[in-house]
Amino acid sequence: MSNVLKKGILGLGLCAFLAGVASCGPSGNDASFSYQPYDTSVYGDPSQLTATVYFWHTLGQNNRGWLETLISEFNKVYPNIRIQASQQGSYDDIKTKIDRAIAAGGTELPTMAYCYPDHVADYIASGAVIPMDGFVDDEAIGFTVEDGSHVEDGETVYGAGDFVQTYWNEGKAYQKEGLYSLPWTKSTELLFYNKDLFDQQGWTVPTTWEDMWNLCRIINEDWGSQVNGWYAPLGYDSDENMFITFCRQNDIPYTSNESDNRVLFNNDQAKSMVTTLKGYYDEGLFKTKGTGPNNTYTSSFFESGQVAMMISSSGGTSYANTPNFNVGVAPAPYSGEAAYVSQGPSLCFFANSSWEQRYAAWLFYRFCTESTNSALIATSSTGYDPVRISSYETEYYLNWVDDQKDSLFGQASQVTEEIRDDTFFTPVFPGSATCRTEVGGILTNVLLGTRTVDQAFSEAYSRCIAAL
Amino acid sequence: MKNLSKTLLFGAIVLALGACAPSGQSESQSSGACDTTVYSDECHLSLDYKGHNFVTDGVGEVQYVRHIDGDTTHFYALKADGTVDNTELIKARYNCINTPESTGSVEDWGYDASDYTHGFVENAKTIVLSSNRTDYGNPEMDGNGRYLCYVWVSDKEDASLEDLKLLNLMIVEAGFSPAQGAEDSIYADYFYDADRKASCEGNYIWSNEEDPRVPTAAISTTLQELVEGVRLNPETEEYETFNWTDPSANPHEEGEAVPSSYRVSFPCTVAYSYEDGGDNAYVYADYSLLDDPSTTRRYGIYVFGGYKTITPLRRPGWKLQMNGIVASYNGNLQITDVSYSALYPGDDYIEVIEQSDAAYVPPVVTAADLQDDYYVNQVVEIKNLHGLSGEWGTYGDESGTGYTILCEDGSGYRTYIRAYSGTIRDRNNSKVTITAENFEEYFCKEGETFNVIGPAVRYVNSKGDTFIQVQILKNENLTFND
Repeated sequence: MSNVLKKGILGLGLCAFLAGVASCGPSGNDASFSYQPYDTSVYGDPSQLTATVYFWHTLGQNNRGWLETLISEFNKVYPNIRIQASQQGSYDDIKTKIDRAIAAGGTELPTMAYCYPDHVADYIASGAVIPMDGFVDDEAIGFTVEDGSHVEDGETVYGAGDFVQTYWNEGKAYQKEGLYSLPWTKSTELLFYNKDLFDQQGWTVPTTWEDMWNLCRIINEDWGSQVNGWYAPLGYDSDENMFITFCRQNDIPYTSNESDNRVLFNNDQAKSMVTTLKGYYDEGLFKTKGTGPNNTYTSSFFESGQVAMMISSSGGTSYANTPNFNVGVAPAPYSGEAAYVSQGPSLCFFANSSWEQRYAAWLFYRFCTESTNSALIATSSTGYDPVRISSYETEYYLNWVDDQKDSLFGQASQVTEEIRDDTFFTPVFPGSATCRTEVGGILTNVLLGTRTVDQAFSEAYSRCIAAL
Repeated sequence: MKNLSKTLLFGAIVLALGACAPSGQSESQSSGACDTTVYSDECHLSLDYKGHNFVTDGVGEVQYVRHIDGDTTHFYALKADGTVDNTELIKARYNCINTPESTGSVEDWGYDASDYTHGFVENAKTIVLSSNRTDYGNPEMDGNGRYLCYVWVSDKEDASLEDLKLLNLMIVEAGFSPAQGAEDSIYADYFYDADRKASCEGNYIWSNEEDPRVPTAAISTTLQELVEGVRLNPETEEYETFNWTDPSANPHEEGEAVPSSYRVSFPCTVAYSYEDGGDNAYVYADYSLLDDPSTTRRYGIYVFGGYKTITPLRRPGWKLQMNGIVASYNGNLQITDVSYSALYPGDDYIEVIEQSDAAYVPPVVTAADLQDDYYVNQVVEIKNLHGLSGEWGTYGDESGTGYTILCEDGSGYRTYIRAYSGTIRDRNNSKVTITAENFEEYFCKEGETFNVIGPAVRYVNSKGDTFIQVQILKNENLTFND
């Protein structure tokens, strides 16, 4: 669907949605939304609240077991809250379905859903989601110390302060003030490498990008000639992340939430960065998903031994976990600032819901992100991280780390914990998803030689401006 | 009459599965009536398929070869003259859908989804594959060597474009899959509208009901019963033949709901753990023979962890009460759909009975011992193997690549060794990467022998021959002799 058509649909949807919502209940539109503190005289004790929560997620069957367990445990505390969870495809499928539901008047929106921040920015523009600030500190149902806490500088920190702050603050980095998404489970990018090959060849795992490029040259010389067919010393699984991470690490402007100047990547530093990467690409030092055969993830080639190292999501550790050779894991390299992209699903909450549903959805979120439960979600999802600082100190999580210390999952979790405070997110606003896609396209097209640097940047920038 | 009966069958499949669909509209967030549009009637292929080949042109007629599950089928292309081109097997992964699993692991409605797809592709008179493009050109493949396809079916020979219906879309419309990865599809609107309609109708994956074909309560049994294919009749106290992988083959009452698989619970000990995208293991238990109580033998089975971390499976020596679904994969019994939680143990989860460090000592066998099924699914050690010839390729239904070596060991018999491509330690203890070009050099060199520790598994080749092979699952389990 073209961007113009999408905007048209969303525009119509906004009118229809607001009309529909006005007739059904409170609107999420910031102009009228006002948090209503939980009133026990109206709704009773929270443990007796009655509501049905529609929860859209992307979880495959492997991961649905823990969700069903958590729902079952939640219902022991809140027996009258029914969680109707359904798998709706991928993140982009959820976004498309929500966009369509908004366009159709909003009555078919769920209560809560998996989301990426870029998606939430669009939902905010449609007035489709509600800010969650009020729930956090609600006297009756807000966070408590028992949900999870840790000690910092001698003080007990709980509530929002117990969350890993990068993850929590991402939910506030939108074009409008407010907490519009809540962290669910997080991941980042890691460097996976063929440990057997490294041991065999005596290579050293690189820590900086300069080390990486030098190693790639050595790999080409020592190993490339032995591999039949397509191969690369380094594979990068996301062209978008490569561009964005290089910008962040080298203090190159990418985007901002300044309303009059959001798209910043069309600058000389970024062009110089891409030109340099093109040089490394032409040297045969790396490939990306976009430049590989059939736009296939480089993890497929890593597993088959055609890629010696890859930078890929920690959430995809299972794809790196191959029986073909021993796999090592380390932080991805950096230059300038050590900065790693923060990824993974958050949850957002929709306006087309009753207050009972909103409270119930919040209670479910609060339950699932209690320290131990957040650790359960992360360890069950393999490669993801808990969202609370206190989760890392729970007996459950410490036992899991010990149990898995010899596995790739355990090793990956150690690395992600080490670099947790160096993760970053980028500003989101309507059109930021387009920026992300377009900068990935810049890299792909320049590396493949289908565009010059100036052409690629110019075209991408125009499309991003049109998408605002 | 034959053609009519097939046509009726073609349509009857839809009616039958519709009649068996879980009842009632789901408690959706919308109280409106569901859309009544039949989207698969409105969606049509725009490219002419006649005279084109799917592999080169991205559209073309094919012949059904093999059913896999609800969203994967194997085909051969048809040439322009209508004859079959069996030089390339087209492994088709249905685009924009993801049906529940029914092989290896089992998910609610996976069996019904599989039957639904199977019914159409097996009985269609015309099957056309197309790709996600509006012009002719190479189709896209996924990372597992499968073509991403739209599968068009018709019960008419030489079907026109109007006669062809998009099976991918029908699967969504029937409620067997959400629209998945469809945002860039040339049929995106159809997929999402069908998804919305199916969600409203509340069938299958959108229903709140449990799939009666997926068992929930576990049958208490033993590894001996599973492997021997028997079950103790509590009334007669006699062992009776029992098919653990095909419940429909066992006697049942008329009208009784028969599941498509059994969930079982049995005691066992972890012999060998194996990490591949998650935790897996071979487990075993020892029992006196049913017909000779004075003799004890070992029974083994593979436990597939389902790409999850499952701590008990990582602990050789631990005694467990296993709980999972009995399945058959590449001709071997396995336990799948296992779960474990130290935090919230569930009724159908693995239970740890005893944590023990007792090491597993694999029985030393010869090729002669592997001429029957006695050691199947047990981890064994076989020594002094010498490779005679090798074969490089995919194994059964797996997408991974490896090699198979036919070996002799001086016992007068031969056996096979199977390994994934990757890195081994050669006789100089140096790590070497095994490739299609060098694997015979390492295993088939005159006068050289090697030893292997690994599971003995049954393998059925493309000709239908069954033989036993020992798998090298970990590189340290292969050693070369001086």
